[in-house]
Amino acid sequence: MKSIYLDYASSTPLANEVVAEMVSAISNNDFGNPSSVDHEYGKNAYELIEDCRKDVANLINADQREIIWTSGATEANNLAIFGSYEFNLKNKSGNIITSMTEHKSVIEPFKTLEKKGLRVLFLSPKKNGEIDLNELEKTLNKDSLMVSLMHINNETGVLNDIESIGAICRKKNVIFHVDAAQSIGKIPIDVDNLKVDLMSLASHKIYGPKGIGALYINGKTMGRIAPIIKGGGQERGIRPGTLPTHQIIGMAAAFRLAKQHMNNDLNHIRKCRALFLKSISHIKDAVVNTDEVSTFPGIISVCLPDLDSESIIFGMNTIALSKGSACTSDSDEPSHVLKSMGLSQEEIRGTIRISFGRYTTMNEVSIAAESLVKIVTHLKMIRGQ
Amino acid sequence: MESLLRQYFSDNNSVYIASDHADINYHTGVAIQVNGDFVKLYLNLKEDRIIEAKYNVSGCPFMIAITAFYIERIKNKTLLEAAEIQDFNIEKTLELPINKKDRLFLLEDALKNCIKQINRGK
Repeated sequence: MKSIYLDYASSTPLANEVVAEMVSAISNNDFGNPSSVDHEYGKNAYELIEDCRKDVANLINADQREIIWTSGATEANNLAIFGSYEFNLKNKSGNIITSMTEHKSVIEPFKTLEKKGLRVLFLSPKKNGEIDLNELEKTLNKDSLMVSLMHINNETGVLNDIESIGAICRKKNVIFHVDAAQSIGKIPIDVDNLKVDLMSLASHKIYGPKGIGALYINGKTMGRIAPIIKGGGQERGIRPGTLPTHQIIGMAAAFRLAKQHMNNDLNHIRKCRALFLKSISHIKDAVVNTDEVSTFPGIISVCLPDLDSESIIFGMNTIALSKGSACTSDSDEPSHVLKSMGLSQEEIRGTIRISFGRYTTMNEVSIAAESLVKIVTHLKMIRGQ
Repeated sequence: MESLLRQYFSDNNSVYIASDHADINYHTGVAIQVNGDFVKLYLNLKEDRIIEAKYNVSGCPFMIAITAFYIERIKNKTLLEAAEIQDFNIEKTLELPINKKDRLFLLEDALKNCIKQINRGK
């Protein structure tokens, strides 16, 4: 029997519509190199890719010329940060600002730039995991060059107020990069309203294929990002490499579907969350690590104090869930996100992440909640509680 | 081997439950790790032989399973026999991964502390 999948924040299954479009792209004569526009094969692939670029831009109210394809959000984050550095930040002395709750693909590039001489300032989140706008304002000064903050946190679901952060950065004339890997296609995004300069986009978190993503670079910033890999002149010279047509077609299909399903998806996961939390409410000491107001409903980070998340997950063997983020859960390192929110080692150890998606059924939510209650009861009993 | 691991992980036959077992005079030994994992053993002896053994444990699935596995096997053994933990072949039977081998030390420490308590009472 296949286990119930409740790890949508880690990755999502491909939507059938996406599979159909990708299979068609692979099976048809769309194999031409989109850079070889001197013949119909290349021209055909080029046109398909430009149509896809429009679809991706459309979801965030951007212009298609502002979308640069990458291999995923990790590469997009690296390109945004190192690309800005290579273009001109390396000639400046100043500070760049991020948060302790960011994904490793932002934190590690920032640490690298710190070694190269830039001053890196890490914001601590508020207790609920959100970025403190007052702290950001206080931290920003005339030497600030760039701010990089995520939209929805992958471990906790915390939703940052990107619109207010964007306004602060724009006022201070500081480059603002947003890692939107977890928010794209799940909540409405308008890059103009949010005043974002750079935004990293993923495909596989919204029912598209892995291995493809994009970096949104607004018109003003477009000429100010240097490539971080060397090669041909693809993607306006910013991201060399032959484009994977079928992957891009898959991503665009997923983005079109996301636009179409966004309201329904959001309502659905709200119901999933409510049912799950209600069903586990009689586990006395279970604590949701975030507040309900500033959290994306699709992700629940729940702490079962004194218990070991590895045992909880092992005991819930018919449910696919995670003890932390997928990117760090293969290491024994305690979550840097939860740590920065002030959770103790014991609380971090007892934390699991459940995430819902378009295909989660209410029955699956009930089964998962029941399974959690059962394993918690067992583990407490053998602890002698 | 996961099924055996799972079997012992889920086993609660020999778990010490205060409300059920408080009237029995158990010798106890506990070992606690910095991260909060612990094993507490409860041994009831007749002369030098273990006639009943119970436990409480908290930790990863391996910690839980090895404790249940060990307790099941020490009943009717002498303390000396029980102390030879390597004789029970836990590591091989439950396919303990290299990074989980320290769980056996915790079990060993709990038993040593239990034996100390027994010796103090003699």
